[in-house]
Amino acid sequence: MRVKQALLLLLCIMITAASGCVDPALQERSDAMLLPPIKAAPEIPLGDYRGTEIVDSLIYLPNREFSRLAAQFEQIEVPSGASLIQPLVERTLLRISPFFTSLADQSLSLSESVEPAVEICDNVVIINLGVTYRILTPRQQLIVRMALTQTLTELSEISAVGILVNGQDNGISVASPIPNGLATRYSGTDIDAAWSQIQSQPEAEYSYIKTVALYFPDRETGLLLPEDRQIALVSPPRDDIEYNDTYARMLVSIVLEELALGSMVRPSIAHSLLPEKSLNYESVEPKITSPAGAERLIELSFRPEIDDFLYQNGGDRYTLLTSLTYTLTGAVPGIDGVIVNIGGTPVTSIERGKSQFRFTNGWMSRSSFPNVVGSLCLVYYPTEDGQSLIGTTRSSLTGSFDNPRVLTSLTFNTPETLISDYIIDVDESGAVYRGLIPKELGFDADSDDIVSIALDKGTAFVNISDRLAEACLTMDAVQTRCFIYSIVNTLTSLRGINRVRFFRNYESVEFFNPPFSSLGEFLRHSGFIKNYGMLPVKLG
Amino acid sequence: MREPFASHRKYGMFGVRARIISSFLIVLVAAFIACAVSMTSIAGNYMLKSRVAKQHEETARLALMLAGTFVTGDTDALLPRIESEGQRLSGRLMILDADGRVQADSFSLQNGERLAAPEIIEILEGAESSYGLHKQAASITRRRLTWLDYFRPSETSSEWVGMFATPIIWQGERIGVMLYIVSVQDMADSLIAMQDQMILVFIVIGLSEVILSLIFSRIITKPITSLTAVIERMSKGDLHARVNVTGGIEMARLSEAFNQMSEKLEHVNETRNQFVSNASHELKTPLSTMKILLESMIYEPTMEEGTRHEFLVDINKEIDRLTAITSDLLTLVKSDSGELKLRRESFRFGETILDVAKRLEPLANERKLAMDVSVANDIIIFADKGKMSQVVYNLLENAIKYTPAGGSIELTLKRNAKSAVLKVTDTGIGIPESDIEKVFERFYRVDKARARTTGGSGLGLSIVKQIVMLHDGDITVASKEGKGSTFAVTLPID
Repeated sequence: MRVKQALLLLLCIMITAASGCVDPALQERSDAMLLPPIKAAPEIPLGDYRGTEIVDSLIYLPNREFSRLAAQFEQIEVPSGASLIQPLVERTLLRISPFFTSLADQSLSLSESVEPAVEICDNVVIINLGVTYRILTPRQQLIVRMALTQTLTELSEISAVGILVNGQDNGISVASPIPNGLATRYSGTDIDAAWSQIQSQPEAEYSYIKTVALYFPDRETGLLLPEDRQIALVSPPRDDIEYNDTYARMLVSIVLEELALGSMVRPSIAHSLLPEKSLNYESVEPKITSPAGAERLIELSFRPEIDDFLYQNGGDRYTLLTSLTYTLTGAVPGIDGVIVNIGGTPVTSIERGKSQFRFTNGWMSRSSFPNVVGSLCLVYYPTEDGQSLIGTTRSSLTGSFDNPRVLTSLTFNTPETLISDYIIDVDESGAVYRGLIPKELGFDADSDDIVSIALDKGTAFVNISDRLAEACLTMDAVQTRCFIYSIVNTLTSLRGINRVRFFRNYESVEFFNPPFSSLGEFLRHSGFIKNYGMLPVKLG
Repeated sequence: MREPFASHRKYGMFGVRARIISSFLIVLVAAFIACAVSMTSIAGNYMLKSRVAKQHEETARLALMLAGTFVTGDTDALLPRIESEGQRLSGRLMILDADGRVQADSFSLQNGERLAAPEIIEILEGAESSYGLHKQAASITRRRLTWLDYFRPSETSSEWVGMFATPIIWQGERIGVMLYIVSVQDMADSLIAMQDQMILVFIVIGLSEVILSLIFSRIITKPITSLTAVIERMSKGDLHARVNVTGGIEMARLSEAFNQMSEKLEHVNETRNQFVSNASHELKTPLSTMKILLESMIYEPTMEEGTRHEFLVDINKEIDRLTAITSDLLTLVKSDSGELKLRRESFRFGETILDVAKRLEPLANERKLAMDVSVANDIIIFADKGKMSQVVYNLLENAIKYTPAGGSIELTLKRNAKSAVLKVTDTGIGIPESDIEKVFERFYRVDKARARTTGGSGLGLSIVKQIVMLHDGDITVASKEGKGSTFAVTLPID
């Protein structure tokens, strides 16, 4: 055979072999199709709006014999996305009042003189009742306390419930048989058994554990965040039920010691501005005084150097005094207020910002400092690489933790404390994750960039400003995802809210870049959340 | 005049062997491609169909199972479920709403995005199920499966995935799409492996085929090669070359036919040589005689007039003889080359025979031979009258020449079915049995010495036979030495 013939045959074989090197009989689908248009969004109401919904809830009420508590379902009308706590408290008080004939025509209600009537902070609920509560006998007060505690602790996030009367611990003395302090869920619903336990006080001194609420100021906002803390006390004998200053002072000292230790639940958010005793800022031991004869006041004395201490620790007199007042009036029974002496002189006025606070003769009570108690909001911020969200807690005025406008505004700007001090996450390589979004907007977005926000039938309608919408159009996919789900995941943490829609100045138009669309609904992106430290939990 | 054959041709690339091998290979290639493509297609379609059915069933089950959770919007409850199902199925699950937006993703990568995949759009537009195959970047580089992967473009970094979509229906309303994405690379690998196996088989078969074809084609072409070699030898003049009869029926018959042809060619060549030799001898003889006589006359100017006249008469006779031989040769040559034209007409053959007998009667009388002519007068033939006259003349002249005095010659013409049969029978010297077959050959003389005496060119019977054959007739001879001969001419009757 000729060389050419041989080569030609070899070529035939190789071509055929090469023809087998093509893909097998699998055809890639490549037809281009267009998505159908998104359904039109419903019209949204003007301004902020919250629809109402009926929620089935469980409340506890005593039986006719007042021997046990029984649970029963109640349908409660609640604003969309709002916490159930206050409506439950109000419903329980409404339902339980008729049980007590001693109340006659009156009914138990929340305090009208002290704000907030219900303090909610993470797992702690403190209910400020009006003076009507004092009409009830101790046993009846126990029943109310048990009913409220069992009702509220049905909610998974609540573990401690306290009752104050007009901002004060209801106890007469530290030996008072009237239960006071914070209560945790009762092991049973047997009222008789609980009452017997309180009545079986030893004749001699005895030790007992009391749960008190310590108020620590938030590092960023200065709002007070109540935190439950168990303290060990020594109580006077049963017969000595009159007010005993000795034991009261002991209680004050213990509470102050615990307050000085600082927050143990959220130390990165809240701090204590009270120096430890060992630092010797106290000039005199705490005293119980009665300047006018009827009231009982706790008198604390500090050296003038305390101002330096406060400055070095990022605080001021206002924050210290609010923390002391709220803590002591709520933890020590039979106390009407607090007097703080600095440098031998009682503090009778404080300026904070544009506000000025005056205290007659230095007498401070809760009513002296309104709107100072905070709640914790769950807000999601993106990590630095934009690949996940971290659930963080921010403080806001109590009662606004379920306010969608407040929550959404908080997502716009990562606080400096979180960026610089609060390390959201650290991975194995040591990389630190901080907030991302605020730096990308190019301006400080705030509540004014939320034209309106509405909650209705499980959906949040977020209506943003033109300015903010224009900023969205400059975002890439990573930034857009972070922006969207920072808001969506924050709002869907509210009870009953599962969907979020976006609008631009009341119009349903496009202002997200592809592959995202501002039309349609967004559901919570659970997989985008990186759990670190605190677990984000839906409040409700 | 035909120009001599000259080979200017350049031989092409493909001989018989190469064509045989190429033909087999082409058939094999075509069969393989058809087989491979159809088998791969059938297997691929079957595997795909089975896989699609299975995945659709799974996807539909998931859609049914998760519809209730999805409609509530509780993704905290939905995500762990699709993550666990995705792990169980070794794939990725996505739940999209009725706007094509991803609301749950087991990989948590594309939430919030609107996906314009055709599978999703078809479901949104009302289809009950949809699927599509796509290539995507592989998370890990696939290992090479076979050696053929080295010839393929770098695809080890991509893999085939299937996207299977079904609607999510809640209380009769289409609320979303369940999308299941899973690797189908195993299916592709199976098909590739099958294909590679077929290629390997083909290569083995192909090489075997080439080797067998080489052997087989050699067996086929060997006789042809041998034949070619013999032909080349013969073209160079070696007419003795013969082919060995080998091979199959066709080649054996070809070899035998070639050998026969060679025999004949050799015989013809010999005959031609003989003929040329005879012709030159016959032509040379009278010329030599004429030369002798003329030289005698030239070199003997004093020759007697009577002798001179005798010599001139002899010379004239020789010239006549030469003329006759030349004329006969020309007739034969014309007949051989097809130039001899017959002027056919219908005539009574018997009359022609009588006419010729009459013309040769004096010669017969001179030899004291009895001539009996018995012809049927109603036999009409369609022939060249002149040539037929020549046939009768030559046969009768030969009979007269070779019958001694006192013998007899008989001419008969009879009808035999559709033929006319002319017989010329004599009581002459006869023809030896060994010469009977040769008497019609040119210049063939049974007794050459006697032929010299009787005269003639030795072409008479050749001419007779040629003319008879041209008239689609036949001539035979029966003879017994010493007893006489009978020449029978059969002609078709008009």
